[in-house]
Amino acid sequence: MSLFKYSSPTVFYPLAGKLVPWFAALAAIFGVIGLYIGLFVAPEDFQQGEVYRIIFIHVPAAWMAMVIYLVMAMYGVMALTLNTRLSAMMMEALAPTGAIFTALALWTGALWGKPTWGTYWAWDARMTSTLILLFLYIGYLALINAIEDKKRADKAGALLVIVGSVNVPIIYFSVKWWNTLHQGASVSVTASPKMAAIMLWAMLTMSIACWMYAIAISLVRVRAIILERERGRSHSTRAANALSTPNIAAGS
Amino acid sequence: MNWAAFFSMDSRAFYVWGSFGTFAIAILLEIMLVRLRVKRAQAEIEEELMADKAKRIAR
Repeated sequence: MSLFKYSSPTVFYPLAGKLVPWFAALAAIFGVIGLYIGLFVAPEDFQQGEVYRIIFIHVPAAWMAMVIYLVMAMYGVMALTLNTRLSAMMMEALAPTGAIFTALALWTGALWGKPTWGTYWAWDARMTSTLILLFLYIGYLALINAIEDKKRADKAGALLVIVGSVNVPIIYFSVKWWNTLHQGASVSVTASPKMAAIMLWAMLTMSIACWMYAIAISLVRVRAIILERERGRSHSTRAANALSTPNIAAGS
Repeated sequence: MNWAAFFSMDSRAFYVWGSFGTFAIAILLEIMLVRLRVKRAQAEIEEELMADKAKRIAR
């Protein structure tokens, strides 16, 4: 068995189908626990009152927005260098979820900002670079849908995402590099967290839930993409073989 | 537990539930749309398989 076995869409299709329920269940379990701790167990913040609870979805959404983009960029590198079709499909499957998390990070941030800072929006370095991230996701999706030839669309999309990944460290370090309205990191790899343990637990649990959700939903979406793309190829013998595989035809 | 106080969120209900609500709606919508996409793709591919089979039989 070769290392690239699972990079074949027809082999990956049933595997993805088997993995989805597990990730979906984990997402639901961690989501319920996270919401319970975040809304019921964690105490009111002594400075911000109840409104601080928004961070339990805002921070995970913002993390996912960046992580998904980086994963897409990684797949982009694989798509361009190894020419694996599945990598490009994974990019296409991840992009809408990344865009949704980015939009949610911006939206929940605005709703948190109004009562806390007195404004929904400021052209602050972190917020602006996150908005650019949203445009990168949307731009990628628009680009791959605008190019008729799928191979060319994949290459152009991969290139766009790789170039755009410069933006991710800008978002991450923006609060250090510039004097931003957005507060600095409360949780970082290098320092101990600047928040109460129970609040941190709620945030981490919600983050795991978002991770699991993102994996589950993109695996479902990549299955749809595999079917959509194999369909057009049915005239070549290889694709005809793929289509007659019981797994795909039965949609298992 | 006082539910009225819980839902009023310190009179910040609009901001808190506006965030959590939008989050929930967005995720539910995404799940619905992705499911629809899978169903449509499966239906289309089955149709194509049937058409191919019909052609082979006709020949």
